[in-house]
Amino acid sequence: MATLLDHAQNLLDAHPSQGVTPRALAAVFSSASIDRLQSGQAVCTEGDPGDAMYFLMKGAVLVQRRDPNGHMRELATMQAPALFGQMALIDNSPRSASCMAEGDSIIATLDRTTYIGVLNEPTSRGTALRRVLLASLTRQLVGANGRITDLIRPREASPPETEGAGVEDFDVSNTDILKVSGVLDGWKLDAATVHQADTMEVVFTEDQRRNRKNKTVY
Amino acid sequence: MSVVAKLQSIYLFKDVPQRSLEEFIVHAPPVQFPRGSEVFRQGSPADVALLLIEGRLIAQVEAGGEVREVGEIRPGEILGEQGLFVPGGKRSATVVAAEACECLLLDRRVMDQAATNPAVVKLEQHLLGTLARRIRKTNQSIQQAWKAEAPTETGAIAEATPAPTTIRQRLARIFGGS
Repeated sequence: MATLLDHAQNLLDAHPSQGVTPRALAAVFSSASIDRLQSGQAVCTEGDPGDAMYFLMKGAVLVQRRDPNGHMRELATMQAPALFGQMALIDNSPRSASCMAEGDSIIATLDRTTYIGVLNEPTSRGTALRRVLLASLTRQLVGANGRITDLIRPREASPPETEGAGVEDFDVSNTDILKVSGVLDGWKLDAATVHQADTMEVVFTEDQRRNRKNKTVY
Repeated sequence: MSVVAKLQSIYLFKDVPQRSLEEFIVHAPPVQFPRGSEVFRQGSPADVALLLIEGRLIAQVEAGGEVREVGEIRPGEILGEQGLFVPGGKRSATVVAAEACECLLLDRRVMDQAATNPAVVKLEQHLLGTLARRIRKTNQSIQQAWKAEAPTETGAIAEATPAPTTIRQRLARIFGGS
């Protein structure tokens, strides 16, 4: 059976974080609640206040959002090892999606109080949590910016000579945008899980409503 | 003013004990840049971050042979931190000293040696907040491009040039690709 140290090593192999030792990250895990989840068991629900962040140690998590008709839309499947739900703790935003275990999974839950305590610690455990998060957020931002640059740059040299004709040929698709958004949110969406344009509409309508509510965040 | 006094005047460090600040600058000794000197060059490896403690820096981006000023850095602000946490990055802008500047250079060695120094703890917490805000802002900008909402800060430009008609054109306008 894998120890916390093994899980820490696995996470760091998949998400290299400068200056973090497996031992220090294992100490973060030991302050978390570690649960075995059965397939279909909910981890967090869209719209709820974010009161914890999660380390997926084993198994997978399905990421979903609800459309205005009440239908769940699958956005992505995250495979272990991964961390998620941290944005809600960092900037107090509500959950942007619902997550549930897909297959038997092991998840370490760091509740808000413990998160704040560890984050403020001048210890190697505190450093481990801060830097794992810093590396993760940096990758989200750099990854998304890189994708945006790719979307706007390669065909820039061949703008349509006349307005109208051919313009659509060069446009960015809704799926492209959804993928960027997925990288930004840390889900690393792949093509297989991205649905059609209507999902797009739903996601952004929801986000804009949420952004308006949380205007002070910006 | 001593370097420690300059650090103490930065809001971020207001609760950091003087002794911790003194230890911090042993690991990250201050560096001076004369007015007009180049601090970072666009495209070069991003392996060192910089904390400006005195002076003023200007960030410029070159695209298509044109140099555009994209921002100003004031004392207490951190620059180029991405390379500290994720390896292999490149500078996204050239940074020039607009006046004589004093900075602390933060590389991985400094961050490891001073990892549990309260000043570094504050820096890391501050950077987490900054990154989260940038992520939210980028998300908003993507939504603007997708929804065809005119971004307010480029309103003046929009009058002078035809309104972008595709998502890509709007993305390019917001993210500076054209």
